[in-house]
Amino acid sequence: MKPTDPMEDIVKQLRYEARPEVRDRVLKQAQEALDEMETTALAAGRPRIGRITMNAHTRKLALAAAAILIVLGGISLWPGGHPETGQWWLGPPAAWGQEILNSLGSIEAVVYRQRAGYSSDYGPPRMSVGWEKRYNAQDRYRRDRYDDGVHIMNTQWVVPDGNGIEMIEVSYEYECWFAEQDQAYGFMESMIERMKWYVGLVEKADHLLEPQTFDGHECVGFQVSEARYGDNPEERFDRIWFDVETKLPMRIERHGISLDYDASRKLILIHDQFEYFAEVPANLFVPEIPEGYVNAHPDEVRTARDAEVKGEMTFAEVPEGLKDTIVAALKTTKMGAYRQSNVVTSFSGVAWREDEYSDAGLARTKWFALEGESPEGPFEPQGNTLVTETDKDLQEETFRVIEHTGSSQPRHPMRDILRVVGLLDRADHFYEAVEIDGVACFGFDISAKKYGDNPDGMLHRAWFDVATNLPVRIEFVWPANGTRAARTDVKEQFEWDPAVPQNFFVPQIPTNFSPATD
Amino acid sequence: MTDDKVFLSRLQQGDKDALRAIYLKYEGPLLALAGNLLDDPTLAEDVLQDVLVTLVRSMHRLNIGRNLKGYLATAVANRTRDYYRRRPRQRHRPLDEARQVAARDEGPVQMVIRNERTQKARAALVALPYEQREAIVLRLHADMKFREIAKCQHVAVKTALSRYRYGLDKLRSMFNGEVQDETD
Repeated sequence: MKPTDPMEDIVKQLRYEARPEVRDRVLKQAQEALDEMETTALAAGRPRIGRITMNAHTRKLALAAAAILIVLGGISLWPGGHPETGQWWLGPPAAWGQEILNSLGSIEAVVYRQRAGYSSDYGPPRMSVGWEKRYNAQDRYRRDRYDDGVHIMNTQWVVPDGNGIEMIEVSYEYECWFAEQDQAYGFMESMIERMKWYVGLVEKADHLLEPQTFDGHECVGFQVSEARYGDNPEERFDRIWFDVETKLPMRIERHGISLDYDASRKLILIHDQFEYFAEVPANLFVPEIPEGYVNAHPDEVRTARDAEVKGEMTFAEVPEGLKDTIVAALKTTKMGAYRQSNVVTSFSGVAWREDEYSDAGLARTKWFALEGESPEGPFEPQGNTLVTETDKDLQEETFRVIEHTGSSQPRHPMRDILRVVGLLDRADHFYEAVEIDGVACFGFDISAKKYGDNPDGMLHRAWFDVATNLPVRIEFVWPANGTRAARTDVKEQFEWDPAVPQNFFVPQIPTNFSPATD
Repeated sequence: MTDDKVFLSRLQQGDKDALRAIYLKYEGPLLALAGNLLDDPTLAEDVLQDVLVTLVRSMHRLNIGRNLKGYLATAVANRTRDYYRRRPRQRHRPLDEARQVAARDEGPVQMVIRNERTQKARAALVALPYEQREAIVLRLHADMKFREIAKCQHVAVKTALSRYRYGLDKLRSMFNGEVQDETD
C-alpha cells in the first residue's frame, strides 16, 4: 500500500462544521424547492421532468432510426460510433439532431444565464464581471442584468399587450424606463427557437468537441463556423454542448464577435446554467416601474449626466467601415516596429522585444513571449496566461528572466495599437489629409473622457498612411496635474514587416553574462 | 442498490426525508470543499445551499446510476469557481497575517480544529494558486480520481496531476517555513 503523505493528512484535517441554524436554513430552502416542483408539476398537468429522458420505447425507435441512417450511408462526425451502447451522440448527425429535437419538443420555458467573455490574440482572455439572468417562456421574456455582478441594474420585459408585443425596460442605475411596441423578436431572441435552429446545424458542424461536465452533467457538443450558415466573418463560430442524459443544451458559446470600442479583443457570449423546468412565478413577467422613475432611455440619461460632469462631447464624421479597414490591414502584417523616446519596440505574433538606447548605443534588450491558454474546451479563463520576460543589461553584463502572471503582465504592443484604432468611430475630430513625416495621412483625435472618468486634456491622436491604412504615428497626451507636468507619449517611426535577423525575437544571452542579483 | 441510489430515487418521488439524509451525509465533505476553496465560511454555506437547491431542481435529469458524491462535489467546485471569480482578487497574505484572519473569521461556521498546525495549513492552502488548491481539495476532500478532477477543471489528466503535485510541494515548503513568492 502506498504510504500516506503527511501533508495530505494535514489537509484532510481542514474541515468546517455547519451551524445548526445554517443547516436548518439550507434544508428549508431545498425543501421549499421540492414543494414547488411537486405543486407546479401537478397544477400544470405537465409531464414530470423524468419523462424527458428517453423511455425505453423512444430509445428503441431513435436507435432504429440511427441504424437506418447508417445503412443509408449517413455521415458520422465521429467515425466508429456505437449507437447500440446508448451513446446517441456517436451516431450520424441527422439522428443526433432528431434526438435533441425530441427533447426540446417538450420544453415550454427555460431560464438561463448569459455572460460575456473577451478573447485576444495579444493578451489574456477575460470574463466580464456582469451577467444576465434570462427567463424565456413561450410568448414572453424577461432578463435581469447584473452589470456589477451583484446587483440588478436593468430589467427588460417582452410581453404580449393585446395588440402585439410590448417591450418595457427599467434601468435601476439611471432611474428611468422606456417602452417600445411591436418589434417582437427584435428585443430578445427566443432561446428555445434558437436551440432548435442550432440542431439544424449539426450536419454543418466543423467538428465535435471533447466531452465536458457542466454543473455535474456530462455533456457532448459540436462547433460550427458561422460562415457555414450565413455571410459571417471567418473568425466567428459557435459551440454548443448537450446533456448526455436529457439531450438538452447545457451551454452555448458564440465566439468572435467584434467589439465597437476595442479592436484588440473579440466578444464571446456564453449561455449556461440552463434550467428547463424551473418554476417561474407569473408575476415575474409583469413589468414593474418603480415610483418616481422618469420615462427616458438610459442612454439619454447617461449622456445628460456625462454632459453635466464632463461637458459636451463632440463627435466627428468618420467614414463608415474605415475602422474595419485599418484592423484588416493590421491583421495582414506579420511584424511591426516603432520608436517611443529612446526605446524601439518590435513585435511579431506572440513575441516582442524592446531595445533601449543610451548615448553610447544599445544599452538593454528585453524579450517578451506570450503563452496563451488552450483555445479548446469551454471558454473559462483560468488566469494561466504567461508572459516571460528576458532582460539583458548590456552595461552591467547581466540578465534576468521574469515570469509574469496575473493582471500586471506587460502588454503586447499590438493591444495598445488596436485599442486606439477601436476608438476611431467615436473620434472628436477626423482629419482627412495631413502630412506626417513626409507621408500622406488621415488621422483622428479622441478625448479619453469618452471612455472613462478622465480629466480634460487627456487624449489620443493617431495618424495612418493613406496608401496602406497602417499607423504612422500615435500620441497619448497627459495633461498636467498637481504633481505632474503635461507630457506626450509618442509612438513614431513605424515600420511594417521590416526585414529582421533570424531569431530576432528569441532571447540571446552571451555566455559571459551572469544572472542579475539585485 | 446503494444508499445514494435509494435516496435519489426517493427524492425524485418528493421524499423530504431522503433530501435530509442526502444533505446530512454530504454536508461535511461539501462544506470542507467549498470552505477550503473560498476561505470564507459564509460563502461556503451559500454555495452548499445553491447546490442542494439545484440538485432538487434538476433531480429528474440525474442518472441514478451515477456517483452522487462526485456530482455534488463537481457542482460545489463549479459554483465555488464562479463565486471566486466574482469576488475581488485579494493579494496572498503572509502566513502570520493569514493566521490572524483565519482566527477572526471564526463565527458563522466554526472550525472544528483550531490548533496552530491547522491554522498554518489553512493559511498555506489559501495562498496556493486557485487551480492547485482546487485539485488538492477535490482529491483529498471529495476523494476524486485525477481523471474526474481533470474533467472538472477542463484540463488533461496530466495537468490535473501536476497541479496536485506542485500544489502539495508548495504547501509543504510553505508549511515548513520557506519563503513564498507571488503564487498566482
